[in-house]
Amino acid sequence: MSRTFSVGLPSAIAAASLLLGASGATAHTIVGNRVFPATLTIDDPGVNDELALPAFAYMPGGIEPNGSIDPDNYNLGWEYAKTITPDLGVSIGSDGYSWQRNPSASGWANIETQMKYVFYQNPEHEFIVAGATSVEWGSTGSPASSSLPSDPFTTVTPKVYIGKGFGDLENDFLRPIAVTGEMDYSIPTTSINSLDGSLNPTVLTYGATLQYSLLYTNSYVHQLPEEFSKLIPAVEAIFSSPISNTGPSMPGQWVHETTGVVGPSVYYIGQYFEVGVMAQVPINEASGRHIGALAVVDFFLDDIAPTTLGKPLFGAPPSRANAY
Amino acid sequence: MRRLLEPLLTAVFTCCLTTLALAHAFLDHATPTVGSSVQGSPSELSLTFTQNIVAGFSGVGLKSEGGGSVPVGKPSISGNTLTARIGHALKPGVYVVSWHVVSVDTHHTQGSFKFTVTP
Repeated sequence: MSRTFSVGLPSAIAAASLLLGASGATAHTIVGNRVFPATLTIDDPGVNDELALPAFAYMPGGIEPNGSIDPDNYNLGWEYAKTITPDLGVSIGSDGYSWQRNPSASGWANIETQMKYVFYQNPEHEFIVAGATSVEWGSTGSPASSSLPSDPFTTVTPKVYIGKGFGDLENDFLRPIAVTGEMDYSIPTTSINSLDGSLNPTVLTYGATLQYSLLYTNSYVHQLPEEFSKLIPAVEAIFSSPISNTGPSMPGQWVHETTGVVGPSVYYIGQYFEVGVMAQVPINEASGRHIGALAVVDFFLDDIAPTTLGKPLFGAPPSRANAY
Repeated sequence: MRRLLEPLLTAVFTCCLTTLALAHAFLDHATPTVGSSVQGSPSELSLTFTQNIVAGFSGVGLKSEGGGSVPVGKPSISGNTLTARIGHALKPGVYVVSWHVVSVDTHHTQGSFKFTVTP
């Protein structure tokens, strides 16, 4: 959830970018016959009533240009998403508790809120477009006196999402495929980090998933053995690039580098919950020195309590299927 | 953190176990099976969904791949399974089963699948 970068805190750059998947997972989305799972690196393209708890992330620290090694990062995050109308949702969450090794440090991340709106969806073609604005509220996590303080500044992030399933193709082998994408632009509300006087750059974050849904295959193409019928394997990627207010290059530190991870993931879609795991492979030394991991348990509140907690505050529950 | 997580997880799991409301109904398995080839004409269609479904708003249809409609009997629904008798023996060929259901929490889903009848 924390998608902020601090030029003066190079180790935090990699940590923030590589741990964002911990809270990137929120609601799963259903458009027509397509289930878009709550993916680990980026958010899915719809609104829903869900609870991601816990969302775990581990990423080994990167290697600085001067050869020093950044701390290994772990965190346990959470997020609660609520629909206001069938197309409008809000969420609150956090990267939660974070800790580092080599050297040891720990602290609580800031709280982040988000409002998201589905601009367009086409059930027949399993296509959806949404936009959102999130706010990471500065100083709502651990204080500056903590060993791992939260950012003391607020960051506003406009976001766009897209999702497309290919169930409308004729070729049965291609019909289980789906893609999703997300692009964010994070804008800190102060240009200088009061913790250490470093610059707070704006950051462009962009990611995508390529999914091959065995859940879809089982229902619409070819019946599968039960142990495979609820799985959605995927390949995911996410990158973050500092855009402005980055300042000059600093000897021995990453400043302008794009960081990111790619890797395989798999999701089990249960009746009331989803479990997802991913191996995240850093794209360069600024991102990490070897493979990390992401995992999430996501509870479908719209399925657990569809008539109370899990339905929109206003309006009928979202349509889940094509017209017929 | 542990003191926070344990009661939260307990509450969520308790909610899961005690809530009777069901979820989106997707096709779990069928007879004839999705995408299969069967020898000889099946006498009925049987579709089992991931959730219980509502009889009044759920149905099934059968067509040959060429588009010709095949009569099927009125579907009967028991829990999460819909069955319907096929009106007459099917000739060898490819057939398309189209279904639409409403789960008990009012979510609509629909879909179709093929099976092949061999001599």
